Amino acid sequence: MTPEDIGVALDRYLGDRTMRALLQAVFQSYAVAHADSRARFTPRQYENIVGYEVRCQLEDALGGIAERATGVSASEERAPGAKWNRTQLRVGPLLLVENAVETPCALVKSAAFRQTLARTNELSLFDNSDEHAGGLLYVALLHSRSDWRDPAERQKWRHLPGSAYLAVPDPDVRVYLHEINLFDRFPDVVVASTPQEWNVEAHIQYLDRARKNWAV
Amino acid sequence: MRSRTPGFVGARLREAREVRGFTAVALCEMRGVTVSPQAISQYETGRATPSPEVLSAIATAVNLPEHFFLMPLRKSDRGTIFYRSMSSATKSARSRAQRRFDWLRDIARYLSEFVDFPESRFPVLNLPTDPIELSDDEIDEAAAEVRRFWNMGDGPIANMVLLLENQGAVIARDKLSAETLDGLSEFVAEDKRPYIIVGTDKGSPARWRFDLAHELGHVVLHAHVRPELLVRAEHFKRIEEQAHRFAGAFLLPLEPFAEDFFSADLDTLVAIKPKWKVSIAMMITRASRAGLIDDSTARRLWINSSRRGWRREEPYDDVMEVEEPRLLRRSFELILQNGTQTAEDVVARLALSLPDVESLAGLTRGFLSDFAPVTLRDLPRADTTTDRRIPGKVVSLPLRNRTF
Repeated sequence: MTPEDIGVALDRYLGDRTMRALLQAVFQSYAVAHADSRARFTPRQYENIVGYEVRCQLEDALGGIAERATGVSASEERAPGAKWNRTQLRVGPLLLVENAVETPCALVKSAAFRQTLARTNELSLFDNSDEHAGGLLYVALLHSRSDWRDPAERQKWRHLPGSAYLAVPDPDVRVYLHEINLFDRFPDVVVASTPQEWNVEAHIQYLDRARKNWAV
Repeated sequence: MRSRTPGFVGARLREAREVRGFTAVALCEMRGVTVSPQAISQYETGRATPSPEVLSAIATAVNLPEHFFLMPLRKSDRGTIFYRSMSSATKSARSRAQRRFDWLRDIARYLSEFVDFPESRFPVLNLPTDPIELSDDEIDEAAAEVRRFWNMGDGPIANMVLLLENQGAVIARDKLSAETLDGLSEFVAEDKRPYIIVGTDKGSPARWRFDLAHELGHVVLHAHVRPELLVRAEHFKRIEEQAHRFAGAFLLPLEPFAEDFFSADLDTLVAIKPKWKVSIAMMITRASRAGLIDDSTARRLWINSSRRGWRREEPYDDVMEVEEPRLLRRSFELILQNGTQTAEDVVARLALSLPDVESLAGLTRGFLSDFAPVTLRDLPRADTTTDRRIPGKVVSLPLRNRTF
């Protein structure tokens, strides 16, 4: 299965509507988590908690997406020994989970469950047939914090995600076989979710920073 | 029969009592009203008239000018008034609301002698004559057709009051003194325009927008409904459900709403509430009835909404702008400012108290009684000798460009 085939599979099973919803969910989760944590905790505790709350919000939103979308189901899973209940979305042969990463489209940290999931990526899955014969294609919804050089800007815009990608890793999670930059794919969602005071230049910079080869 | 106040109209006394919510007994207990409840009854039925002293005391008690009681009755051209929550509202609450509604019409007709109101542009749709036969699909299509008729597109409605006033509706926000009554409306055939009162006894800005959309639903869907139809509880209920459905479809066109409501969770609804200016409860109802979510999801959202205390007050309820009617207020400002009428003229013609007029017309308390016209001072003319070909300094303002 080539990267192009994977791209076709993502388009076929997720489609623009669900991908758009995933990006909307990322923006919403960051905004809600930051507003909520900031309102509840001291600045220090806010720093501690907000990353967890982003993930909780996003896991919750994934469940909501499944309730809204046709052909998408959600389940709560906990890997053996893990302390985190994950929301997994199933769309046809795709199995999607969210992952927080440090930089745009960074590789997810090695974890047993991820490798287990990634090993399901049978690359011959779609070779001869459009049908998936019980195999799964593991897709990660990657999101990262926004990165700003200016500390004042970093403080002001930290409720915005830095990036959002859909990425399909190889079975050993050493490389992504295919990835979709959701910011680039749906710039209208980015514009609708970012501050109204931003001008074109601010948006271009923001989109640039969300690209995986962007250098600080 | 002793006739001590020539021209006294008994029905006006009943009207005054109903508006103020006084029983005959309560009226007789007011200062200076030195007659019995039986006498009040006789006045109202035309078997007797009050002495000038008693009339004066009654007028003071109900805070209306004395000549209110001498005004001829309105022509009986009543169409069908739709009361929201009529089934639970008391008869006295409905009577009071109807009287206030009549006063609103009096005010609008008076103003229309001096001011051209916007032309009435409400579409007449090709719908079944019997409204009970209206299907949900037909109602959804009617809402879409009204949007098309007004060239609105399918985006959020910035200001429902302004939208309807611009199409020729006369709108008032008024305390109806009854929490069971949310509003009422009537399409007045003689004036060829709808009149709507939105009750402000309870609610929120989002709720009041919904009330207006609901009344618009009656105007559009129920033009043929006769009052007799509303007597039967099941018909009344169905008519109200239809207006609800219309309001939801009109305020939240399905496709763009479905796109914004990407995840069936309350945080998503909170996030899009400022955009659509519709209550979260309304959005859950709309999503459920339109099949965007199934029953179990809707139930979960209702339960969680209740847990968050949103049945009492939702997020943004305290910061959303209250949409105030402008048509009558600006009309008064216009005719008083240019001297066409004075506050005394208003009282003489309408035979209402100024606070009542101010309230129904959306004027600030005291606007009419304290009105002092403002005139332009005779300022020196501008210097016309300056060479205007010399360009001035260009000040650049930051433009918001949201496209790529």
